[in-house]
Amino acid sequence: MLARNELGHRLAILIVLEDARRADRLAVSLSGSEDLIPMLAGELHADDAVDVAIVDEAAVGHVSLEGTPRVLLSSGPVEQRERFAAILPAGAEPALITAAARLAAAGYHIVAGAAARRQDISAPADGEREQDGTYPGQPPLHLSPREAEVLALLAEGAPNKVIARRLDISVHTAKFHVAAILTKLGAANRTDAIATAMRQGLVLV
Amino acid sequence: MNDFNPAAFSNAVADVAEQVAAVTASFATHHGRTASAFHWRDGLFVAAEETVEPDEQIELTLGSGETVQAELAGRDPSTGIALFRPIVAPHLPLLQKAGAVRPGNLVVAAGRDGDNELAVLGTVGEVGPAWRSLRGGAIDRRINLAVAAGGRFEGGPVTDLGGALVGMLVFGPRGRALVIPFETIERTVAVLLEKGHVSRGYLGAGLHLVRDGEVRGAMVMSLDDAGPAKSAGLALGDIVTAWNGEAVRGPRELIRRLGPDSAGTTVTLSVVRGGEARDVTITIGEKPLS
Repeated sequence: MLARNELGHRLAILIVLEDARRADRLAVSLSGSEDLIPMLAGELHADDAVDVAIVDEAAVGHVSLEGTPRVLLSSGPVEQRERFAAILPAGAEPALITAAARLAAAGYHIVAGAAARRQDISAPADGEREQDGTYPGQPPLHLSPREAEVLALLAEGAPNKVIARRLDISVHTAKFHVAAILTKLGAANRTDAIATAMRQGLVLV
Repeated sequence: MNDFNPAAFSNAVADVAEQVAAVTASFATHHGRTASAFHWRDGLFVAAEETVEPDEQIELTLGSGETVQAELAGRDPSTGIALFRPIVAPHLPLLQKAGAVRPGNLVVAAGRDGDNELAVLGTVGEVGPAWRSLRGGAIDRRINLAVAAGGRFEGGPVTDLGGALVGMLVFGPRGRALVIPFETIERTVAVLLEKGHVSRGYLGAGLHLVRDGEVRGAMVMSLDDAGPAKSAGLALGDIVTAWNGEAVRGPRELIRRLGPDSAGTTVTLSVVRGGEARDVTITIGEKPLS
């Protein structure tokens, strides 16, 4: 059981999905970020504070979510869209769900694509890509928690040997993670990877 | 031009190439490729930062055919310069600084691939004032080349036809050949020798490009609890739209301003929070640039 004051600045995220395995996987992904505390519906105690909830249609009526910003993972048309802080496709990447949850917890209302209203954070039409290949509303890349750790060390300029030592993995494994990060970021080398990661919010600027 | 002697011109260029190639070195990058480096001063070599993996030592193959182990003395991604210190400093000549170049001037781009000298004749295509790299580095002059040089030449010297050094060849976006000028190398090497790294300005915020109505900017997606952004009162969801009154349309433009000279300065960021504009005064922090 976690009370709000013990959480400090960390965001408590309740995951209520009909597909329990997807909920588990999402919780594992979210737990890769130090400032997030994912909680599954079954684990919730009555006095747990929840900053934001990730729900599907089946969970919309969940009674304990009154007043909590909700991120809806939806496979079809949604009525009363304003009830949700964000509506994402059912198959959205964990990184996108994470970003939406953070913004929802910060009080934002997020609407994607053509449905966007003027005051909303919106994704642009095709053809508005920035020169650096990023664009507003672009789903952030999904890095595994380990890859995220490796990326943070890369951004400090750590060589493979140091990455290996700090994460207690072999140099070979460190190289493997670095190569995977470069591939995911579409980067030609480490320098390029860090620059791209900075522009996409994956590394602190 | 009546007395122009093509054979003599050709030989003159080859002579310059031979003289310049003598100070170049070759090293293995990845996937079996090589890149070039060249002797700067005092036994130190410079290379293109992008070609250098931060691991271990590298082995430089010199013009003499010898190989020498060298350690990375520092790297600066903002100016694209890496500095190597050979374990045993070879005695090599150094290239004098070239005078100003103009568009149309001929230059030699030299390099090395193992034992083979590389050299091509190219043309200065564009000359401009100082500019700022994507990572915020101050590059003293813009010099773009029209030159048929590939990846093996990257990090090699570019000289005028007197064999004097204009700068180091690097490839920018879309493979454009750029010269990092002599004075930029000189300045960066001095910092790397003193500190081993170059600093960058640090906000302590994860940023993502957003558009909010007509506003484009960099949205704060995460915050370092101990970082300047948090101390200055920036919050998750804030959209940074300007730096000292100059529009910042996304993370790219913000990062470009966080170069080495931004650290320690106090800046006013224009921020949109919940649709309302406000100003936030922030003292830019400092981190080693990597």
